[in-house]
Order: sequence, then structure tokens, then C-alpha cells
Amino acid sequence: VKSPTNSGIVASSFRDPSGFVFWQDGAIYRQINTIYKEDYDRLMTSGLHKALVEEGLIVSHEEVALQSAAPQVAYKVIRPDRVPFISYPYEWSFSQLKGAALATLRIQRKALDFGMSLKDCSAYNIQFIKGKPVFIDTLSFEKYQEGSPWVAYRQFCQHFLAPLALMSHRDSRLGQLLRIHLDGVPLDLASKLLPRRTHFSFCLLTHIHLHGRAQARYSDTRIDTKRLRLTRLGFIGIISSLESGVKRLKWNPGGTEWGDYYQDTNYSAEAFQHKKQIVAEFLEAIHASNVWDLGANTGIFSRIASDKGIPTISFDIDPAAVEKNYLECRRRGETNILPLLSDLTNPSPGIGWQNKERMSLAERGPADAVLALALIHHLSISNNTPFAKIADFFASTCESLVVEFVPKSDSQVQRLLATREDIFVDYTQQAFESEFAKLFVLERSQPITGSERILYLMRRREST
Amino acid sequence: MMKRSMLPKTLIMPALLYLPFHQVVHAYVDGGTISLVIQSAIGVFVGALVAIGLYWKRIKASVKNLLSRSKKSGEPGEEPH
Repeated sequence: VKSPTNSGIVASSFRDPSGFVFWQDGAIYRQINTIYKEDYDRLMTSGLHKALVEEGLIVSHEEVALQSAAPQVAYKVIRPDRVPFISYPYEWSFSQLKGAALATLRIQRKALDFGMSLKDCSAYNIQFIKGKPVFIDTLSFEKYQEGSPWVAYRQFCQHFLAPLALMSHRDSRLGQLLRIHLDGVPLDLASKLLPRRTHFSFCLLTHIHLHGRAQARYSDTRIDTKRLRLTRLGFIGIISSLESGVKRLKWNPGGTEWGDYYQDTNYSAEAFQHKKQIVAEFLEAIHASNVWDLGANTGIFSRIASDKGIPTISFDIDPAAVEKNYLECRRRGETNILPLLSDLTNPSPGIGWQNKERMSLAERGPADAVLALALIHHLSISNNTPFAKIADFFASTCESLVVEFVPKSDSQVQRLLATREDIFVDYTQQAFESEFAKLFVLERSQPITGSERILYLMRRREST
Repeated sequence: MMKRSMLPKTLIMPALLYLPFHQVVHAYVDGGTISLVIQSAIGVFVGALVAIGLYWKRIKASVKNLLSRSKKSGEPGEEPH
């Protein structure tokens, strides 16, 4: 029996009295408190957990004989399967959030069949594992009391329905509201932002517009909550209504800045092929255990890594590119690649209580290897970031770096300079190499045939 | 354009949603409680739809059954010798 300490309790795991998540010797565990004993036993003995695991809807776990982190309230300790990379709803594309919503409703429907219900419908309870949305919170189930309303209904509307409706009917960038509102988009706000035509959708009229207005209008009204009833048929009706409403929400990812990047580039087919070949060779040399592709666009180069079986996170700033990337993952049934939305000039910060509930992107690193292809000129010229700072960022993000230098004469750089004054006198290959060499060993460099671009393979220096 | 089938739903629902607020008062209401009220009201409506859907399937099946029986009994080949 190992002896854990409380020091490893995960910062976001403090709200639910049913238990908490903690780290011990590099493994993650969940303590189940005695207060949750009855519901946990019901989850396991009813067959619900087994059924959800078989459908790939919940993470599997095993009960372990580990001394409890808080023995006075402990019932059991379980070791759930490890989630390879924690991502957050504000980093997901439209279809990722939609997939997470439908998985949550499927779990709720299944739970009802086994006499249980979800008491918590936070989007943070879903993680993407092997390309699919999977529920990770074993403590979110409770016994279904016949006639009781669904306590997680509002949370579902705020965490899933409202942002999806806004992304579908207004603008996909409104998914970023989830970064500001930790408990989901307030329904009165969603109602104000949605176009009038959404009043003609039964799902959005009831679950967002009327729901949001009632919250605002009757917030100081007193009501006998004990008399509120929701029949099982009513419960099923609400799940069905939400399910069909979510399924009807669509977003077509086209016409954004980067969505059509590869159709609008200065590469010849030969140069593009040569670049792929060099990246593949560099990745072979690195033997990376995981890769972050920064500025991945639709993930063409990420797939060079993921197709080799390397777990790869494919970041891009453009919601359309991330959406296309995710749809491609689903189409090909890929399990090693996770597309995520990220603006590297303003990456996800630590948010929530004490800025620790949701980790910053930096806290979730470093990666073993980073691909930074056709990225440097955007950071340097579009964001006015000196090479020294860019090199510093990469040194804190990875061990090995595959980076592409795009010279000023390149048409893509010229395009960036067309709308701004050229104050970038230090934007030269020599300055680039000199600054990066302070933090990295420049192991290999190779020009891309038919272009003026150069690919580098670098390793972080021991001292950094 | 609003679908024809949506009309009854969109007209009836607002009326239904205001009913529960005339209940006796006991507890202080926050946003979460309002959500319980709202879903209780929506539940009445969508629950009825689910019930109709379930019964409709059964009615359809029984009617089909009846029709096929009468059809079979009307067929010459099926008549007793």
C-alpha cells in the first residue's frame, strides 16, 4: 500500500463533496468519499458503468488498495485510465463541442435505463481520448428519483446548447465565451445574442430564450420546489428535444483566413512534397513520444507524426481549420491526433478559482517535440515578436524543434508586409539562427526544393 | 421559414411556461430553481409528445395487424375447404 499525501490534489477538484482527484507517484487517482458510497455502488453494480465503458462513453477504472488521501471521509480509491492530454471546451471546434454534447446526452439516456441520472453536466467532464469524446467524471451519477427534474439541465444548456447555438447561428468565434464564463454561457446573454429567427426553433425557443428570460425575470420569485415534478416521459422528452436540437445545429467551416490556406500558397507540388519528406525524416531522427504541431492548419503535417503512431496535438488559431482537421480525424477514424484551437500570441491562461481550476497551455506542456512550420513569420512580423522571445517560447515548450524559416523575399512574407511598414530589419536568416542557437543546438538544416524556405531540426540545450 | 409542425409547439409552450409560477411559495429561487420550473413545464409538453409517439407506434401496429388479418381472411386461398 502506497502512502499518498494531500499535496497532489488536482486544483479543479474541490467543488464536489463526493470525492476528489489526486496525483501520486506520477499516476492519477480518484478518491470516492463515503457520502457517495451508495451512488458509486449503484453505478458499478447496476451495470451502467460496464455498459458505458463498452460503448466507449466513459473512462475505465480499477479500484486500488491505495491508502486514502483523506482517510476520514474515504470509501474507495480508483485509478482511472490516463487521459493523454487535457483540453478544454474553449479549445474545441464546433463539431468537437457538438460531439461532446451528444455523448453527454447519450450517457444521460443510458443512465436513465439503469435507474440513474447525471447530477453534473459540465463540458469539462468530457475529454477527447483516441479521437472520441469520453466522460471522465465517475462521481457525476446519482440515483434517479421518479418524478424529479433533471438537476443538470441548466448546466447542459449553458455548457453545450447555448455556445453551439451561438456558433451555429451567429459566429463560430463565440465559442470563446466559454473561456470567460466558466460555468457556461449565461442563457439570458445567449438569448440576446442569437438572431430572432432562432425563436422559430422549438429547442432554442424553450431551452434558451424562454429559459433565459425566465431566469432573468423570476430571479426574485419564491416557488415551492418540492411540488415540481417531471415525469419519466417528460424527462425522456427533454433529452430527446435537446438531442434533436443539438443534431440540427450545423456550421459550415469555409471562407476563413486559413481554412483554404493550402489552396492559396506559393508552394509548388514538388516543394510541398519535399517539405513533407524532410519533416518525416526529422521526426524519424527525433523519436518523439509526443508532438505539438503549432500553427497546424488542417493538420497535413501533424498527420506525418500521428500516422507514425505518435500522439499529436494539432493547434491552430482558425476555427475553420480546426473544424476541418477534426472532421478529417472522424472520417479517417484517427486515434493519435487531437486538433485544438489556440492563439499562440494569447494562449489559454489558467482560469477559475485562484487561476488554477483550468490549466494554462504552458502548464500542460512541455511537449517532447514541436513542429513550427510556416509559423515564424507570423509570430515575428504579424505579432512584432523578436526572435529571442520566440526562441525562448519554444525552449519552454519542447525538447526538440522542427522549425521552418521563411525569408523576407518569400511571397507569403511579402503579403504580410504589404499592409504594414517594414520595421523588421532583424528579420534575417542569420539573426534567426543566431538567436535560436543561444537556446538550441541546430542539428540539421535543409532548404526546401523550389522555394527559399529552410527547415531546421534543433534540440534544446541542456542548460536551458 | 417556420415549419408547419413547429406552429403548435411555439404557440403553446410560452403559455405553459408561465403556469408553475402561480404555485405556493416556500424557497428562495435562484437561476437553478427557475431551470427546474422551466423543465417541469417543458416536460409536460414534450412528455406528452413522447407518449403520443409511443402510443402512435402501438396504434399503427395494431391497425396494421387488423388490416393484414382481414386481408388474409378475405383471400380465396386462405378460405377453409
